[in-house]
Amino acid sequence: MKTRILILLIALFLPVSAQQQRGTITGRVVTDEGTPLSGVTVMLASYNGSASPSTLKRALTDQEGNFQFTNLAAHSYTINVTETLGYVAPSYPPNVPRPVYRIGENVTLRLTRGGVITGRVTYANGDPMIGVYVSAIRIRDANGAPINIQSPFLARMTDDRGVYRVYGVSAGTYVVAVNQGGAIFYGQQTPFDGDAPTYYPSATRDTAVEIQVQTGIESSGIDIRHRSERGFAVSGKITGGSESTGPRSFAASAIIRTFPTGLNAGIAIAESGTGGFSFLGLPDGEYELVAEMGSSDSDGNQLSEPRRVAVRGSDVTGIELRLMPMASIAGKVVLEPSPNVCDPKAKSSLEELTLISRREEKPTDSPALLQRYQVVLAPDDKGEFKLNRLAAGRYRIETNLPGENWFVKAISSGASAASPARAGTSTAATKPANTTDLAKLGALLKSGERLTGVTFTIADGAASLRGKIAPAKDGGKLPSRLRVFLVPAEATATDDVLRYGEALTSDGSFVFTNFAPGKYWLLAKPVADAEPTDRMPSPVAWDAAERLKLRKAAEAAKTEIELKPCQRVKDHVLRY
Amino acid sequence: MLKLFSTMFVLFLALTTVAAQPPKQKEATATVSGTVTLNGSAVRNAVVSLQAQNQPVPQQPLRAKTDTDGRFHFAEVAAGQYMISALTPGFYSASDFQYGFPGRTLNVGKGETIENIELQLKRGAVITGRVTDENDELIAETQVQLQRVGDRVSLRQNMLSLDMYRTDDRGVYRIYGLPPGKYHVSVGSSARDGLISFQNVRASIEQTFHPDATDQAKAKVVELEEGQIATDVNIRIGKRKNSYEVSGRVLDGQTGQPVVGVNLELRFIQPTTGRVSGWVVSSGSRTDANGEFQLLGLHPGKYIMSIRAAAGKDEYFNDPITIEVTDGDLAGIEIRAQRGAVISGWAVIEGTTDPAILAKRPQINLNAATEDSTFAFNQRSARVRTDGSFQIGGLSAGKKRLIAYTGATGFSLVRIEQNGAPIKDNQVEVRAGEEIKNVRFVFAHSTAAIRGRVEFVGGTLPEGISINVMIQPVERGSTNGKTAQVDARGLFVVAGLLPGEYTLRLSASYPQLSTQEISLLTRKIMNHTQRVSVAKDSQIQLTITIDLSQEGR
Repeated sequence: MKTRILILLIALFLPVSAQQQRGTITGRVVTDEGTPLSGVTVMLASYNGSASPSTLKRALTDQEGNFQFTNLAAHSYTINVTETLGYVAPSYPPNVPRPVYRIGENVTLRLTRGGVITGRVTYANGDPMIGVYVSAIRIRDANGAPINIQSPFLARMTDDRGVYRVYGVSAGTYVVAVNQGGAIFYGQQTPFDGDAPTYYPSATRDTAVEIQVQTGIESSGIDIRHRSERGFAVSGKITGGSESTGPRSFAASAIIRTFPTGLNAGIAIAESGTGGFSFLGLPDGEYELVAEMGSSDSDGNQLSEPRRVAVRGSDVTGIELRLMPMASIAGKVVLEPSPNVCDPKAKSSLEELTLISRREEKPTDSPALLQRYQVVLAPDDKGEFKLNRLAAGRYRIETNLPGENWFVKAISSGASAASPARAGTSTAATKPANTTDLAKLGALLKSGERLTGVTFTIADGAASLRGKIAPAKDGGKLPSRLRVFLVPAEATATDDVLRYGEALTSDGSFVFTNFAPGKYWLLAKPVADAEPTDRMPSPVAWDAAERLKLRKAAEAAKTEIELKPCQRVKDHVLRY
Repeated sequence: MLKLFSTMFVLFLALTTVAAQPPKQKEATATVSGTVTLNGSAVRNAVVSLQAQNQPVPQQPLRAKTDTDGRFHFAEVAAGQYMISALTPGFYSASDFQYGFPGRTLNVGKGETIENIELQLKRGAVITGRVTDENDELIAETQVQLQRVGDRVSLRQNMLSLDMYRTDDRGVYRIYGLPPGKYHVSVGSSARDGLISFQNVRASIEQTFHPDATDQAKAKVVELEEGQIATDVNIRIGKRKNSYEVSGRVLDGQTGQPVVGVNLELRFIQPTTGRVSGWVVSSGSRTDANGEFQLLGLHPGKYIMSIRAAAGKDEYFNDPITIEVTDGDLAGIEIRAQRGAVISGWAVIEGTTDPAILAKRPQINLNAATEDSTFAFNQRSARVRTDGSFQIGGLSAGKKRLIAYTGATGFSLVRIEQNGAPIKDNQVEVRAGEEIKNVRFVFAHSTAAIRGRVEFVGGTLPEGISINVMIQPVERGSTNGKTAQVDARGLFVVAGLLPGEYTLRLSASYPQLSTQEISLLTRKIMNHTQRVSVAKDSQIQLTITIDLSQEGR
């Protein structure tokens, strides 16, 4: 009898080993009108085992658009659909993590029917321009919000009549360019290398005419007359970089983008031996270059500091991009025994959560480099993790947790793990003095720095809050984009960054899950129209001064709510 | 087309006398100029590319643009072999038929002034149409294949023009820039060549020719004149065939551990003849961290599966297994990989300690190939390292022939030896898992070269013909023969010959199918043979005249 109780207790507090549990993810691919798409390839990748998701399995949808992946371990997965037949997958802004899927879930993936842009490209004398790439570059999304990082973009070639057809274009506002980013094609030379891009109708980027693209609609007659302007060259060499002893399967490459719009203007592979690179056909303007080199060992990746270059009427030579090793954060995720267990039957595993590195941005940061600063992975079956391939900077770690029962209690680096919970202890963290609160301060990493011993503490008993914003006066109108803040109300929680939340909403509904129980305020603020959709700004709570401002405003709004352990609030109304 | 200009002849003669002068202080560079024409008229603003060939490190090509008179000019050209071509999408030139590469070979001598290179363009023809199925549903994003009918002209395709070989969202394709002639247009994968559908779709398309024929004999030929636009070349496919998935894993035969990062190669076995197709398909099939692989889009049939290691991990091989796909997915295929035998040693250059010459060793590629099998599964190669050592791994047991590829290094293989004893016939017997050490590939380096010119009198050559010069040592059993292509001006260069006696012969290849006239011509060309004596580091000048008017021989 005694042994049985003991086993039961252990089962309550320890996550089930992933080896015991296997399951299935099922799903369906449909168009935005709801019709199933058959014969579409769906790819499953896992965040477990390496920093970048690697495709594990593929499946093809059947006549009803259904697919399934069976016999999967209890890990963290992501699913991609190959775009097909002019249908487009949803685009995720570069620093917003993709959804994480777990076994037992059913997924619906929606593809929207893209629009089409078509027209004819000619030289000034009317001759067709044959075999040149035309790109559709998205500058605003379907709601009109600006897009900051303007790549990747769709490109198709003109035919013998100079006619091009770009299809599978998601709704939004575009500019159309001829020969943009010509050197992207890795050394395959085209007749147009060295020509500056021309924008519809016969303009530079500044004077380009914008085109609205709508779902399923063809915008024809988008004819472009080539300006035949020479662009300039930017060249230099990539230095640094350790010699690999084995056969060289990775080469260093340099990428040049316009600044600050982040439009890809070329990728060049470094010449082996000299490390030399060159970009052709660049019009006057501001650019940013960065060099990188991959490695089969994930700790071996290298990145250079971004380098700003101005092209003003002549070639720019002698740019040196120095490769430097990348940093990492390593540690362990620990599930702390908790007095509150929301669902004793739940069998979540540590391998089902993902950790996401997020870099604190500076105003001088290049928007295009945001993609480099986010690494997502799941810990192993012991809870150990290593986020690597990080560029220098100050980082915090965010999570995507399985289910709604867990919350993050503390993230710290230094000597101790989190102290065990005692009956009656408040949920405010108490830590010995020689640890660093990484949630509050972040980890400042230099190039190649390896931070170890990070403890990521999770506990059971989380609460969630779902609700809707309603106008203060019935019939009043809400701004198109609002941001809702969840602010811990206790005075002792001022600096407990993990208890602050923010959610962006365009239809007024908001969801907060996986929060520590306690007292909270809710606050809604409008989002500036100029804020781009493709870039989530750093959470306000990361900055001490901003936290105070937020608390003041939240307190004044007098919208306190108490969340008890394991409580699920469903229809909370917040007046704005 | 080989056009002969008297000016070039005079220049060539001038060169032979110039060679006697003492070398200049500064390295003289050459200039190359000429015109681009379309039906005799100048083409302006055309980009011409001059790309150096046989470089250890790929070089950026030189580019020039034609002026209002259609003239281009390259200055400061280093000596060497080049490919010159006009980058003019939508147009083609006769020389595009040589080996399917755009452009013509050009041998540039030091400080030479090369003029009057004419790149003659013709307007390409166009084939366009729509692909639908039996329900009139359009088939989007599908690969379209073109085959020449009645000759061996190979169509120029580079990565940039692949776009046009796919149908768009309306099922429409448009392929331009084609040389005139007869074509078959089809979509889908052929039953003959190995049936993996690259589109990875569950229901794949059986090869269907315009307008709706799965039997090539019933395909309609599209005949194009120069610059003609053929529209409505539509293809209607029938019911699609099911394709299936094959999955499994690769394990180390001894330890049972998963083998990570190897590619699976499948070869289709012809059902009627039992012949193994040479066509290898291995896309998307690298084993993951658990040693697992997954291949989608396979048609029913018998296949031979073998593993091929990724670069740098070539320790494993497997005894190829046969699988049969009938009417369902195949799962749980287990492949036991074995650690292969290893041949290691050194590449040695006799008679020199010059570091500049030794630095060329990494350009040598060494190969150990299975000598006796019906399929070339177990061929492994390795590049010589900077210190001269090499290691070829992942070899199956059996007799292996050792081959060295020396490219343009000027090295010639003198002998192969192990532990001081020469290896007979360059063949070694390898036992399973054996380590064969201390193998030495011994090379000699030579700067001896033959610079020659081939002249044809008394007749014209067919368009698109390509002439090669073959230099073979008189001594039997030697593998140090070299070949060189005769360029646009009739010039050729054969370099890196070891001292000795050689026989020189010519060969011809051309895109047209053989006619009696062409056969006669070829015979005359191939009948030519002459003896050449090569002394150490000697520079030999030759002129070969072929008389096409002579009756028979």
